Amino acid sequence: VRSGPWLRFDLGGGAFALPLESVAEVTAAPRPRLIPLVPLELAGVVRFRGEPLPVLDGGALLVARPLERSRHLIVLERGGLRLGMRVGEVSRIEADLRGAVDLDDGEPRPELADWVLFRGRPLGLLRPDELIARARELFQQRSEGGGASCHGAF
Amino acid sequence: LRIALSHKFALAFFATAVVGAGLPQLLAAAGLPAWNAFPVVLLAGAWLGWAYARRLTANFLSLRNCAESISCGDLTGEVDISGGRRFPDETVDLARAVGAMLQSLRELVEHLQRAADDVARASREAAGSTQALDTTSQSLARAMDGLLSGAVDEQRDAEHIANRMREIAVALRANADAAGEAAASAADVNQRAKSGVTVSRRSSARLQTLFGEIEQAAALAQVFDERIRSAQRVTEMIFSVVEKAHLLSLNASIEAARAGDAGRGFGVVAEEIRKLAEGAGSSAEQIEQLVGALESETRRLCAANGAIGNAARESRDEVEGVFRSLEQLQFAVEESSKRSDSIERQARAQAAGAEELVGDAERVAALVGEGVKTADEMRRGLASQAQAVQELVEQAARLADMSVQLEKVARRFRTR
Repeated sequence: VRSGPWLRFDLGGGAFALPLESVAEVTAAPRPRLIPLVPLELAGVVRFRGEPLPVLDGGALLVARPLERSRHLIVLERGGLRLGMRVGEVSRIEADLRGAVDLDDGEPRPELADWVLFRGRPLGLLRPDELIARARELFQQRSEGGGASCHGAF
Repeated sequence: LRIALSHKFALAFFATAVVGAGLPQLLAAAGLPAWNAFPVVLLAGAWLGWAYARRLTANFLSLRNCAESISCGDLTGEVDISGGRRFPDETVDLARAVGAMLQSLRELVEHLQRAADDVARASREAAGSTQALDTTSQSLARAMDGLLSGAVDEQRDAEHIANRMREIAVALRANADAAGEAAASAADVNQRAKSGVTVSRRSSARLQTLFGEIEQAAALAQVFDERIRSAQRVTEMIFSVVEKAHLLSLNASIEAARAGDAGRGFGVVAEEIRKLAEGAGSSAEQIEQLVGALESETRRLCAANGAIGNAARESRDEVEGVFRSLEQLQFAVEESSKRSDSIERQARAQAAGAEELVGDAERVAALVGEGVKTADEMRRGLASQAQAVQELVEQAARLADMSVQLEKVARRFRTR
């Protein structure tokens, strides 16, 4: 997991990283169109390269607090599927995570592979596949009418 | 025909002797015994003695009755001198003298009674008059006491008024001096006000120039603020370019990483672009900070200039108002100086008049003091007079008593 380059970004005061191989592009975060009655983790849909792109709210998903300000949108691409995730700010590309020390957070989550201590601060390593699966699950919850916290305005 | 009493006695004796001597011859001639002559002579002598004594004592009895009446106060009686009226003698003379004395005494008593009445009436009137005089004298003494007390109060008031007038004169003199100093100060202030108006004219012109320059500075600051805003917009464009360059470098790095070894050169270019973007971003941040600082300072400068401009515009009117006020103030000060001169003259005239009033008041106080002395002397004189009147009243009362007694005594004599 820790081999290869990683895209490091900041999110709600914490630092996270995605494998660079799953990242298609980084762009300025546009304002997404909200989708009615979907959980808060789904920020909405944006038009990206002429096509609709579902967008996750990284804050609501990873730190349980929707982002108030988002500078960048990370476009994940996996198996022909594309998913956008609003983050605070993309920091840089890390060539590898050598020197990272494992941290025991005691609460395993599917989309969060591991917590490591990198360059003196905690860094959450994400699983792109799980993120896409999570987005799919959230859309399914919307179609089934479930979800505790939704964009009730629509 | 007046026959003296001794002659009457001699005649009676002679007649008795003739009767005694001739009667025996007559009896004898008549044929009667001679011894009959003796009793006849005795009887004739007794009868003659008795008749003569009666005739002689009738006037004495009348005189005694008259004397008794007089002793009883009755002067109305008359002396009866019927006896001896044909041949008056010394008893008739005595009776006539007593009658004349009675008449004189009657007239005297009547005169005395009238005098006693007059004295009693006069003494009563005198007692009433002296009583009234005593009352009047006492009233006069009390009035004099009141007058003296009033005169003393008046003297005290006059002295108090004189002192007050003296203080007022001193105060008026000080007031006149103060008015003189005020007039001098007002003249000095007037001169200074004129100089102030002249200086304020020059200052007003300079302030007008300064206000114009302040407004120009405010306009320049506004222009500078617009330029700063333009620089901010340029900075925002630089940030946008830097952001795009940053994204471009990120995406280029991503593509290079995906390309593996084939994209390594591209990755180097992307890294250079990233560094360039970071440098540009850093410079843009510095520029932003500078522009921000400039904007902040410019905003403060504009705010200050705006406030200064507003203050200048307001101050321009205020300066005009102050200048007009100064002119009015100078005019008022000039008027005040003239009035101060007038006040000084009037104050000095008042002080001189007050000093004259002080002299008058002192003279009045002296006159009142003389009046007090005179009143005191009059009071003492009136006291002596009242005492004398009191004694006079007592004497009049005693005189009235005596006149009453005299009237009583005089009334004891009845003349009619």
